[in-house]
Amino acid sequence: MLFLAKSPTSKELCSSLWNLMVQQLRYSNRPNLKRPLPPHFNRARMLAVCEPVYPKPPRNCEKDALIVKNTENILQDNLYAIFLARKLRKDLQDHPVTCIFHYNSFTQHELINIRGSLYDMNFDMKIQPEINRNMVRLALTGTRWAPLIPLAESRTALGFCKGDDINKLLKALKKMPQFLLIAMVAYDRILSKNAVEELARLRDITNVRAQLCSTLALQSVTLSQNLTANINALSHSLTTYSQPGEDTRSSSSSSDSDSDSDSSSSSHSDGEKGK
Amino acid sequence: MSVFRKSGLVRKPTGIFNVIISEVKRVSLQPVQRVTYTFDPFHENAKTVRDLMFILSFPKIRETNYKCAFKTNVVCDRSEGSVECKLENGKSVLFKTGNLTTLEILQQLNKVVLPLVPPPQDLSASIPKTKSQKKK
Repeated sequence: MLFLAKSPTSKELCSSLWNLMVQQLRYSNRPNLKRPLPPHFNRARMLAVCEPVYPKPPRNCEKDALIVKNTENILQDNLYAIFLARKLRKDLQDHPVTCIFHYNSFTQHELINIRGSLYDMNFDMKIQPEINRNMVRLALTGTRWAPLIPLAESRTALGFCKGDDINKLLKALKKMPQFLLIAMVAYDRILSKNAVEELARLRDITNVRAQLCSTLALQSVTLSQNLTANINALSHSLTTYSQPGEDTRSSSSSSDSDSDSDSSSSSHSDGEKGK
Repeated sequence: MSVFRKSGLVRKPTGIFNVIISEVKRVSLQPVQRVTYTFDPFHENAKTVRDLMFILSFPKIRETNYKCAFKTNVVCDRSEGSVECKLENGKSVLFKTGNLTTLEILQQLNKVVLPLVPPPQDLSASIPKTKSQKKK
């Protein structure tokens, strides 16, 4: 283009255009976003300084207890026991309510009848009788459920409930006298039998929350009622005035017509008098 | 594999479980009117009461006296467990199980209760004889 241009101004124009074209044609292909070129040292240093530093997560004792693998313990503990311990811990985490029972002597026929009665009551509780104390020790050591380990010393059974209706649970327990409730794990807490009975006496939390919301909104409601009281009274009186009964309407209309005629006659007489 | 020993003396088992089993076989609740268990499940020595509860719930022991009532109080005051046996003659026996083992409780229970068990009645005298038996 330069050699084609003849005048100096045109040559300058062509050179600027050429530079522009050179600048626009910096990248021959599309920029590589998957494997970008490493930045310059200064830019890289700036980017490294600007990277966010997140705080360390809190120590999870339950995870640590499982993750800490001592080879000697693995050799001593049975692998099936470790599997059962993990299953127990998962069940404790998955179910909102877990009952801990002491069981007396019972037959399999009685257990079947108990499961049938729970099914009839539409109460989903999975009963796991005969808990192994070694499995419980393995599952709960180092966790927040460690105080439950001594409960597994004697005849202990677990009941995993999917629902959290405590009243229904206590009704269901009356149909299984062989199983005696000694503790419960509910709402991420270990509850004794007295605490369970107190929990059953408490009201439904949704009702209590609704009551709290209504109490908090009471002041604003009274204020709005006070502000709109006069307007409401006025509108009510207007509606009652605009919609009277049939007798009152007919009497009022006749009285209105009489009054109109009287007023017209009086105005007419006044007009005549004025003349 | 043979169940029986091929050599050596066959001795009577003398482990603690066998002693407990022998005491359990002797238990009779005939003179007992009511048994009340009180224990705190989180106490250190609650195992004794719980084991006793399980043992006395055996069907064979229940068969000795179906009228015997069992009551359980689960408390949460860190108190040691206790077992109270109310007898039909008005007296009651209280076992404080804080420092007792299951075997000791069973032994003392048998020591107190078994003398009060009435002797078995001779039913042959009440059964009427047939004509052929009378002729003989």
